[in-house]
Amino acid sequence: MSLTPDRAGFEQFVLARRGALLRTAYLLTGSHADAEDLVQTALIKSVRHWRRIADHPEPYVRTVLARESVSRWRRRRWRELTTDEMPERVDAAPDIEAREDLRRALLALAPRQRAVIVLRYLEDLSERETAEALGIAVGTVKSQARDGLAALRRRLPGLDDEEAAALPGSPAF
Amino acid sequence: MTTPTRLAERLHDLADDAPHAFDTETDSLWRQGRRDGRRRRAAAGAVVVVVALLAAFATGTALERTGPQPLPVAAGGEQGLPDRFYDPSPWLPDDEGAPGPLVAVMPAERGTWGGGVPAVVGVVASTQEYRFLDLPDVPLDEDLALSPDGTQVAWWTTDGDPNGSVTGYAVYDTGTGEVRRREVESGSGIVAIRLLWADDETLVAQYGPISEVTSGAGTEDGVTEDLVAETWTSAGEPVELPQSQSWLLESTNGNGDVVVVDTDRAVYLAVDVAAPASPVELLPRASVSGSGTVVLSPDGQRFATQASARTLKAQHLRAAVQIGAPEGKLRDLPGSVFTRALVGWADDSTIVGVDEGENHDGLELVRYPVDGGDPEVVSDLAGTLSWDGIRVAGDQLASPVVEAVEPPSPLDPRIVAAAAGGAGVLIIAGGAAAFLWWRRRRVAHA
Repeated sequence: MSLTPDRAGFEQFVLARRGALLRTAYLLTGSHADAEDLVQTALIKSVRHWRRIADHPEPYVRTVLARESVSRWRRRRWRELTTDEMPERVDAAPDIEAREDLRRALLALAPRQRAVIVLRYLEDLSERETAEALGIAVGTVKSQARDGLAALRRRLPGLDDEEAAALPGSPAF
Repeated sequence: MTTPTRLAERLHDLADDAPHAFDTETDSLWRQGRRDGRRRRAAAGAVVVVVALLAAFATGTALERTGPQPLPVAAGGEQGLPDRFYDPSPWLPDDEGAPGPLVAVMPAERGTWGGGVPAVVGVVASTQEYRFLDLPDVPLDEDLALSPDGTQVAWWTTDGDPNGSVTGYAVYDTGTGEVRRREVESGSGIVAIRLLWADDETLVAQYGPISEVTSGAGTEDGVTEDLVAETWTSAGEPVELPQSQSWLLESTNGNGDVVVVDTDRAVYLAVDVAAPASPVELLPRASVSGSGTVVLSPDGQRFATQASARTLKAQHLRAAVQIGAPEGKLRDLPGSVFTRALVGWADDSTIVGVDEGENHDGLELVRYPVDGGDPEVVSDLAGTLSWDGIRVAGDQLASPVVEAVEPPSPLDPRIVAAAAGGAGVLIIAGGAAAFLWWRRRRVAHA
């Protein structure tokens, strides 16, 4: 009875969408701790605009999440540069190894490229939606996606074959 | 570009490694967000004060010359329900006098030199003009009620601090500008539950005196054990509704009836506020979606509700509308799959709701004919405005739809002042440089 509608709506949203936000944040950061930190930061930043976004908060929270992942990399570049040594690798089973390779390959991308890849191919956003979420031009999204995919292809040699098998006749990426 | 399906699958596979939750409680995130917001406003205010002082120092009377100037209001609006609602600027020009009947009211932030304060904006029925209403002591989490004829606005009031306790409620007359206040005697304030206009004259207020204050990190929440629902008219003192201790106010038909939830019996009731001792049972609470409501037709013969989860055809939070009558069966309202909220009845055969649409590309105000016919989109929202806070006058739900008039968006006067200050500094610096150059030339020639 003491909760305001805004606050109750916020709690409902967090409970419902926390998992999905953490999945996106994990791919953006490559680390459990950073993913949790990133999601909490995005949610805290969303609180002060909650009244305006309460009807449909997800796009705004996702935008904050994506932009924060890029801007915090700028603030903490030293930390990103040292993440080539992955501390969370625990097994060498083929599927886990493949995940680990993908995680490394993602972390090797520039943050904005990584954000574009994650929004386009995990969140399945259009180029326009991705551009709006990151505050960049659609042309930049296209070039960042192209360069990011090329970099992934170089680091994950099997990806080309898999793509070719999955999408016969389609251009590579 | 074709989406590389395999890469998407691998990304989803990797995302399965993500953590599923975090330790911080949602409540803490909310409180920290609110604290951060207050700090940002305070910091912005401090910066603005410093800039303003510098600007005033540099330019003398520049501030007065460049302060907020009344802007001409767009004229030519027609009377009726606007086809769009706009997010009003915090710097809407100040207006003198009472605005007259309103189409809608909405919570807003009013810009000040030190930041912003909670305020209320009304949309004037005759001109579609957006105006700040002179409502004192508006709390931060404001809840508004607009009478069906748009002539009276009710809101909860605080002890003067927007972040402070709610201590009562008040009514603003849009015709005269007069405010009448009802202060509730309570040591720690009251928990504000709901304000509704049962008809053009009768306000129903539900609240509970705070009996206990629970403290969190930087916040305090009031808890009440005694709910009160009372009617109040301009004619006299508030009158408590009998049996209302177990009722929760839900909605109004604007024609003398309110819908309440009887929490003891878990049913929705229709209550004639003029004869509250004989409520009419409508339906069990379990039949209604958790986030849904029940709205009663003006003649009290039918009601509309948002269906419970079993009938949802879309994702959660979207409810189909069902129509019922006391002691009758519920039936689905065709074309309402994407209805997010019910606003009320335009007349005895038309419901108005907020609809998300099949493409989920924006929330719109829609009229649904109950007895057959296609839904009619009547209004949409501009920008990031939310329907949650907008209160439309009940009588206007059936009005003709007219072209909305976009409110002015004056430039933030703090930016103007800062620019003027910067220009003043440049002028002074330029003048000083010219003077030095002139003196050197003069010395050289001497």
